[in-house]
Amino acid sequence: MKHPRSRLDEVIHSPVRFSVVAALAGADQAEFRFVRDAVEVSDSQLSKQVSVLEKAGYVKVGKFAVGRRTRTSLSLTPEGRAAFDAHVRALREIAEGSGAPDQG
Amino acid sequence: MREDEARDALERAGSVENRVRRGGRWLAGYCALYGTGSIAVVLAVGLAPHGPLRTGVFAVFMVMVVVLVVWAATRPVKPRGFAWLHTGMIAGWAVLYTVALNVGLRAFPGDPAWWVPMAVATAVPPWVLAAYMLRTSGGRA
Repeated sequence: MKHPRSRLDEVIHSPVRFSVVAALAGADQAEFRFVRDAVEVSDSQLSKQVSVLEKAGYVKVGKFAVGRRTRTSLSLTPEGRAAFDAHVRALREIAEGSGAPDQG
Repeated sequence: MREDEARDALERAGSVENRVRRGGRWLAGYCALYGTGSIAVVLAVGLAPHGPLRTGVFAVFMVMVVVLVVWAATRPVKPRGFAWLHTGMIAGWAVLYTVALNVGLRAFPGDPAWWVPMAVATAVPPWVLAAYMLRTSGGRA
């Protein structure tokens, strides 16, 4: 039996990216600044991580106008949601101690 | 990755996810107000005589709907399933509102036995959604 560690998603394994995806899993869509505050990172850190997630096809970035201002919205793609669910399942299995013994 | 690291990661993710879910609680307030406004407008149409009261209540309801729609569009979080939930709520409300007015104005003009329960019935879809949002937007434990 393969250790669940082998099923962890490389893209969302990074702590900040995992938090960003977890934040977006709780909504259909969230504004950039709301996610930034929820995850407690800077604008630039979030931008960088969102670019990686967008490139992987996990996050969709949109723009919308509120009055004269343009705001950025973030949402998970179906692939992103599936990857998050699979990653969480693998983490749960690791946390419960299932799978083959950890080799490192 | 060790077991304790996995548990920490899950805990952190759960906490962030819950914070965002709570950001969607505004939909409960939106629905509660919508339902209350609907009761007022149905009662005014059914029971108030033609004139300023009926027109006034209807105008206030329309302004309230416009304000709610604009306010909703500017919320930073759209809750999970927002489009379906909102569309379902509005569809349910529209059916009940149409029945209340079409049947009531023809068959029960000015009869509280029709208008009071039907006014409350039109508030049921928004209030059910409000209750659902309050129950689910607390986030996973």
